[in-house]
Amino acid sequence: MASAAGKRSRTFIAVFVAAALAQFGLLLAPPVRPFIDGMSGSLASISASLIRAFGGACTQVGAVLTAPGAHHFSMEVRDGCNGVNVVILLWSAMLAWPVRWQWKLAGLGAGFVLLQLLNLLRLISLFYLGQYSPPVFQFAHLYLWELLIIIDAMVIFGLWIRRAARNGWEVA
Amino acid sequence: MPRIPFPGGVIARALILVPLVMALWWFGFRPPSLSLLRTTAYLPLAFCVAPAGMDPIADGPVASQWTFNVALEKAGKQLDTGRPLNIHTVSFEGEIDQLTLFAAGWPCYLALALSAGGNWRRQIWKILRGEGLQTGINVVALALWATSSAYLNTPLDSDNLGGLYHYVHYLCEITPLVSPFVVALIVHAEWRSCFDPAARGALPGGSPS
Repeated sequence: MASAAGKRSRTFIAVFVAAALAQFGLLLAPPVRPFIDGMSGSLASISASLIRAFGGACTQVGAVLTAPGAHHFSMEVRDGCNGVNVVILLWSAMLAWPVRWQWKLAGLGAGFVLLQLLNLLRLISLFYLGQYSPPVFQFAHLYLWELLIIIDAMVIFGLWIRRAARNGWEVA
Repeated sequence: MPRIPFPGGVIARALILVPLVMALWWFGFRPPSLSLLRTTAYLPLAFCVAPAGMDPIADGPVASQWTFNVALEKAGKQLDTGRPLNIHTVSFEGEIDQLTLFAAGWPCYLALALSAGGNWRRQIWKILRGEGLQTGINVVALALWATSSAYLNTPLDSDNLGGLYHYVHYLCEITPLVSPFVVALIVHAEWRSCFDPAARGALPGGSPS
């Protein structure tokens, strides 16, 4: 029993590490870069639309958001800010967990959407923080939001495996 | 049907403690943590990364930089001038703002360890073990970052491993923020119990129901 659990853990770790390393490699591959940069641009565009929809002032060119006026401030959405690193870690964990493929695919899709929804909140909050407090922006940008999004990914993963176990979708 | 409890207490505490401890570190304890990073990394980098007789890390030309000395053997032609070049040592400046990343694992792991809760006397030894593990990861990540930075700073025509250095460099910049979670999962059963019903059942006072 214990050795079966140990084997399952070792398999999970091996697949998780291999999947994460492969995806980070893909992320840096030149053919993939246009898709990732396009995704960063889309996140910037959605953020700008949301800011304007709630009465804020924001211009967007590519992946760059700019606040006009007295608090002139610009920020660019790049790798790290686009949430792709945490998406890769969540996807790797989901790929490594022994459940039915249908549930894996559902998890990959829902995980991406949920993380990106939180990421939009991150981008919008950083846009305002950058205008009013550069030191707090620096802290929130480099550490706070990145860690909160990792915790969010753990919550998504925990709920996902809980649902799989409850419905008997785990495989041996 | 099996039912796995989701231990929201650990995660909820992490959502409060991680921002709190990280803010305390960022606004109050960043300089001492950087000094600690430099002290703990000095000997490993001196043996594994730096050329013989040179400091692996020295004060930079300005206060906001550290100078890294890295031993590497490269030969080829310079990309811009085409002149033949043999390189044995590379010195480059690292911005302290960027290097702070390699000290961030300590407070982050501490916050995650405190989130695990439990008996303090038992936890203190676990936390020390976890911080030791985190220190090792910080130092290895910094050493790999310095080595890959040195290679990326010397582009030669014979360089066909540029993509690999770029990859390692990228992983080194992700590791400091991801590793505290891995260490917490390794050291604390309370964290593992978030994802493993068997571990939850084995916890003191834990319920497998």
